[in-house]
Amino acid sequence: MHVFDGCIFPFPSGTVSIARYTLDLHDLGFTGFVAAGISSENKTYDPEVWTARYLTRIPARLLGREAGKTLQKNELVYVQAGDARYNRSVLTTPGVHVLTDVHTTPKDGFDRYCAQLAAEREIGVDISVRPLVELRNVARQKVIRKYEEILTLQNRYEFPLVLSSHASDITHLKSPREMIRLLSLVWKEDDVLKKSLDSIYQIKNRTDPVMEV
Amino acid sequence: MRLRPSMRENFRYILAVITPGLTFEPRDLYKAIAESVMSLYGDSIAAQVWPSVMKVEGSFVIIRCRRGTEHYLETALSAISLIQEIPAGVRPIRTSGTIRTLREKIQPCTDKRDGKAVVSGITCDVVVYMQGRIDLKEKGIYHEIPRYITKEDTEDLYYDE
Repeated sequence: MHVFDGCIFPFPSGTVSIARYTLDLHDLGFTGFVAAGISSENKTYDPEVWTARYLTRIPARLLGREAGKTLQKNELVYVQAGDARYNRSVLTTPGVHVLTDVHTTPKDGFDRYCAQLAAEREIGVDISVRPLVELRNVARQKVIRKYEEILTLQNRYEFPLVLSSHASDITHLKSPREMIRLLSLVWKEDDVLKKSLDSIYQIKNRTDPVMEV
Repeated sequence: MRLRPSMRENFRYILAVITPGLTFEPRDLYKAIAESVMSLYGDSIAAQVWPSVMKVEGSFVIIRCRRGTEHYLETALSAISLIQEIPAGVRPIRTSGTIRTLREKIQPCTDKRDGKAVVSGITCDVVVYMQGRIDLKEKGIYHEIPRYITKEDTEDLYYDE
């Protein structure tokens, strides 16, 4: 079974080098991770390292062009979520792998139609444990409620979930067990969460939908 | 109140490690743990968990809780991001019914040495840990290099006498 950390930010976005992340995540029990914000290197590491483009605040009309840039480079495309209309256009854009930062969306930003689209197109929805650790009081309660909504929709539509630490510092790294423990605040069924640890592998190796010629 | 052994409370002990290799006073650790349990679960569960710091050895810490509440405490430990306003994490490693079992798992912290490393042409003071982990001592003055690196990232590395 593959155990992936869905998203980490190495230097220059964070304070940790990619080699150090490799060492630490291997010790934590991960078999691979996705590094956002760096260009892909030819170097191979022991826990598999995949690179991702982390697209933030991209206007909907430019999404197709931005997501298409990575088709040659074998990179993943993460797009930061916005309101419901924006999320729908993200989920219908070819080349997008993961919708991220869903906890920052406004009310009903990720509705059942978005869930249906994500399930049909095998686009992952990223759930980060970092806001659960960093936020306190009402802000954390809002994140827990939002994650609960997402997991309820996941239970119904079965779109892929991607668990990530969103680590930019060594203190943000979490082991798979810690991630599941933290997300057990939101969802009591551990099986769904455990399965989500390798969903990024399936998303990357997904086959494109059959096209009518 | 003194109870008969059969009536005594059963406890569980959790071994955790503080990242990134920092050492804190037991009192400061207790404050961070209690705050985390309280903010996650409230007074009622915090009273049930009854966390207590038993032993601090380097960056390892043994924490006690009531039997059956380990999962609350583990979650609360994972949710710690600051100890005494210093960014740090507490990572639970193992749970046991006795302190002795956990003591055997504590690795001696002797593999830590001070030195100097050359990274991207900049010489900086570093702490070298086992398996080639290197932490820069002062981050504030080096903006163009990462703070946490490995031997692989250095151009040159030499230890202080």
